[in-house]
Amino acid sequence: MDILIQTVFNGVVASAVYFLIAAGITFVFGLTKLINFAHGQFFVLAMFVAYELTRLGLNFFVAAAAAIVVGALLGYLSERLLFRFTSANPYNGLIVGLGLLLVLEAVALKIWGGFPVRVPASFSGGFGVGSSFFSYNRITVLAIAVALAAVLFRLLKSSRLGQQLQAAHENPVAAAHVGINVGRMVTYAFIVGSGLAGLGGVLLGTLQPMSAFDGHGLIIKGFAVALLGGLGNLSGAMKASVLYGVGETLVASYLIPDFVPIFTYGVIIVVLVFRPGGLFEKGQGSEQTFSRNSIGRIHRQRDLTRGERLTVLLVALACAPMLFELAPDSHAQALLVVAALYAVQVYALSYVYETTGILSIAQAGLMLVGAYTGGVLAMHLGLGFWWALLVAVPVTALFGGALGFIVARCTGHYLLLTTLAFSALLYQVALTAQSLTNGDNGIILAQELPSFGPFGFESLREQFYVIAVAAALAVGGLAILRRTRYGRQLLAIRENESLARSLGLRVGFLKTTIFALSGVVSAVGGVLYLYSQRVIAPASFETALSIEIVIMLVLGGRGLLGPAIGAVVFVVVPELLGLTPIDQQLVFGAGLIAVILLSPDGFVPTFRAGYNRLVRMISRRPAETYNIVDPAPQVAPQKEVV
Amino acid sequence: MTGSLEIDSVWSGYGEAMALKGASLSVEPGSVVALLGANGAGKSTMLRTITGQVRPRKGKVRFDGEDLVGLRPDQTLDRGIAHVLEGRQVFATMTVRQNLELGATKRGRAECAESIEMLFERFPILQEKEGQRAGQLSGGQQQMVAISRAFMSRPRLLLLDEPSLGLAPVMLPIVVELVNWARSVLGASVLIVEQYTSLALRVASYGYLLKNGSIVFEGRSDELSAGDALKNAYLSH
Repeated sequence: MDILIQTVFNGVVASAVYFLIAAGITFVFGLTKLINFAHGQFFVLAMFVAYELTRLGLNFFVAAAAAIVVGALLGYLSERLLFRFTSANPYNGLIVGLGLLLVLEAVALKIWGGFPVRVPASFSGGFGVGSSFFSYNRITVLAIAVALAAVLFRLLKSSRLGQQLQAAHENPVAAAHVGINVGRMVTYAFIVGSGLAGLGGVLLGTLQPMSAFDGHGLIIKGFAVALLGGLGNLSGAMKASVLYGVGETLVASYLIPDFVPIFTYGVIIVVLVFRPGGLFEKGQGSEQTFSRNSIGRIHRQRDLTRGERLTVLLVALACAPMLFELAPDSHAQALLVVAALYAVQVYALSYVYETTGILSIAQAGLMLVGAYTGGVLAMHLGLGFWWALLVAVPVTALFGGALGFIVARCTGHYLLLTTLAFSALLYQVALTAQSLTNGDNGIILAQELPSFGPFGFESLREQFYVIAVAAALAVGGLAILRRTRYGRQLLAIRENESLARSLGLRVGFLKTTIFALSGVVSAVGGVLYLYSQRVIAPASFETALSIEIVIMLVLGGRGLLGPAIGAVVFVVVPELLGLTPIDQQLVFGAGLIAVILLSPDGFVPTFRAGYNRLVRMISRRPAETYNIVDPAPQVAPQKEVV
Repeated sequence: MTGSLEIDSVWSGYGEAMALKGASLSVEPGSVVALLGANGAGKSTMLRTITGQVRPRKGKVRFDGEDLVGLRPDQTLDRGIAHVLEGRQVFATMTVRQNLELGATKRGRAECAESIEMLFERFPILQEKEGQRAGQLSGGQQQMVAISRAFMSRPRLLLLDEPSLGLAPVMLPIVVELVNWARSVLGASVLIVEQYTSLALRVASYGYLLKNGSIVFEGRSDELSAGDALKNAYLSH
C-alpha cells in the first residue's frame, strides 16, 4: 500500500512536468497547426542554463525564472526567424523543426557534452508518512505547476489577450476581421508555450538527471500527452498528463522499467487508432487534414521529353559505377556501400511518399524488421541469405501493412507521430526481447555469404553492385507502379483524399497495401544490410535513422533519382568535410532548415526547374502558362435526324 | 460625413487566376450600395481585397482618401471598415457576449459596454442568448451575432457578404432591420454583396453589377430592378 501511495505521488509530480511540456505543444499547435519538434530541446537548453546559474550560486527561483526567459526567447526567435516562413505549409514547418532539433542538440552537446546533470532541488528534505517519503522539492514542483495551470486557465478564460488568443485559435480569418493581429498571436503562443517548456525543463531537472540527449524523448512524451488530451485542448492536456504520468510511474514500478518507452509508444498508437481526437473529445481528430500532404511548394513542371528522360537514365546508370570505381580508397568504398543501403530504404519510403504523399517517419522500423528477421533466422536456426529473404519479405510486408492500416486512420501531424511511434516501438522491442534478438549486444552474422551467379558478396565492390542493382529494381518498380491503375488510384488519394473516397476508392485498403509494398522493398534492403555489414544491433535502427532517411528524401527531392542523390550526399559529404559526428549533426540540421526555407523541393526538382529555364532561354519559347481548363464540355455536333 | 470608399480599376485574385479584372466602384458617405453578380463573378474577392485578406495586383483602394493596399484585415478595421464574412463566421465555442466583446477588440471597455447595451436594448434576443455558445444558435441568430460583432467596432463602412445566405425566410426582415439600425446609429456607409438581388436592391440606393471580374452595369436601384441588365448578367455567358 505504501508503495502504491509513493508511486501515485511520484506519478502526479511527474504529471505536473508533463503538463508543462504538453501545454506548450498544445498552445503552439492550437494557433499554428504546427508541432515544433525542437520544443523538447528548448526544455533541455533552459534546464542547462538554470543548472549553470545555480552553480554560480544563484537562488533556485532566480534560476527557474531565467529558464522561463530562455525558453520564451528560444520560442520567440524560432518563430520570428524560421516558423514564420513555413506557416502556409505545416509540413515544411515540421521538417524545419526537425532541423532545429538537430542543431540545438548539437549545440548542447558541444557545450555540455552528453553527461547528465542535475539541478539542485528547490528545498531539501521532506517528510515521511509510513514508509512513503514526500520530498519538499517534489511538493514545490507540484505547487508551481498547479499554480501556473490555474493562472493560465484564468488568463485564457477572462483576460482580453486570452480571449483574442482563443478567437485566433478557433477561427483565424474571423479573428483578423474583428481586429486581432493573428500573426502577433502566433508569436505570443510561441513565447508562452516555450516559456512553459523552460519552466518544465528546470523542474524536471530537479527530479532526475538530464542530458543533452533527452530532448527527443521529451518531445515524444509531450506529444503523447498533448495527443491524449486532444491537440489544441489545454484542459484535455491537463487531464491527460495526470493519467499518463501516473500510468507511466505505475508501469515503471510494478512492471519493468524497460517497458516505459514501449508504454509511451503503445499509448500513442492505440489512442491514434481508436480515439484520433484525444480521450476527451468525441469524433474525429481536429480538422487537421492538409490539403496536400506534401513537403515543398505545390506546382507543376514541364514533363521531360522521352529523349531527356533516356539521357537522365543513362547518365544515372553510368554514374553509379563511376562513383564507386573512382572512390580513392576502401574507406570511401565502404561509405558508398552504406549510401547504397540507405538509398534502398529511401526508395522504400518513396513508394509511399511519391504515390500517396504520406510522409512516414518509420522507415528505420521497417528496415529493422527486415534485417532482424534475417538475423534471428541465422542466429537461432542457422538459415542463410535466401531463407532470410524469403521470410523477411512477407514478414516486413505484414508489418508495413499494419503500419499502413494504422496510418489510414489518421491525418496530418497525427499521422507523422504515429509513424514515429511505430519506429520507436520496434526499436524498443528489439532492445527488450533479449531472448529473441540478443538485446543490446545485437546479432553477429556467422552465415555463409550468398552468391549471385558469378558475383559473390565478399568484396565491397560486389556488395556495392548487388545493392545498386536492388536499388535500381526498386526505382524501376516505382516507375512502373506510377503507371498502373493501382498507382493512379494512390495518386488520387494524394490529390484529394475525400474526393477519392467519394469516387468509391477504398482508401484504407490502398494505403495498407502500399505500405506493405514499401515493406517488401524495406525487407530486401534490410537483409542486404545484414549481409553486407554482418552485424546488427538495435542502435543501428534508432528513430534518429528514420528521421535521417526523411532528411535524405527531402535533400534529394521528389522524383526517381532524388532518393539516391539524397542518400549519397547525406553519407558522403560529411565524411569529405572530415567533420566530427556532432558537427555533422549541426551541418545537417542547418542544411535541412536551409533546404526547406530556400529550396523546399530538394535538389532534383530545383535542378530540373533550372534546366527548364535554361531550355526556355535557349529556345526562346514563351514561358509556359497553365490555363484553367474550360469546364464547359465540348458538345459534339449533332447528327441530323433523317 | 466620412466613410467614402473609392475603388479604381482593381485587379485581384488568387495565384494566377484573377477574379477581379479592372473593376471600379465607389461608395458615397452614408450611402448603401449593393454589389450584385452571379456565382464566381468576383463579389467576395472585392470585399476581401478591400479589407486586405487578398492583396490586389493592380489598382487603388482608397478609404476617406487613405490608400488601403498592403494593410492586413486588423489594420483596415482600425481605419474604420468592418467586414461581415460570408457564411456567418462566429466563434462557435465562445458565448454570444464573448463574440460581441471580441468585436470591440480595438475599442475601450466603456465603449464596448455601451455598444452592447444599445444592441441588447434594441434586439432583446441577443441579450436572451448572451450566455449561450454562438455555435448553438440558429443560422439567423448567428448572422445577427456576426453583424452585431461588426457593429461593435463602430465602423464607418460596413461590408456585408451574402447576409441572406442560408437563412430561413422569416429571419430575413430582422437581419435587414439590424443592418438598417446599425447604419443609422453609426452613420456608416454600407456595401452589401448579395445574390438575392431583390433583397439587396430593397436596402440599397445604388447598385453595381459584376460579371467575370468587371463592372458591367451600374445605376440607381430602380434602374437596376427595371432594366434587363440583371437578367442578362445571371442568365447569359
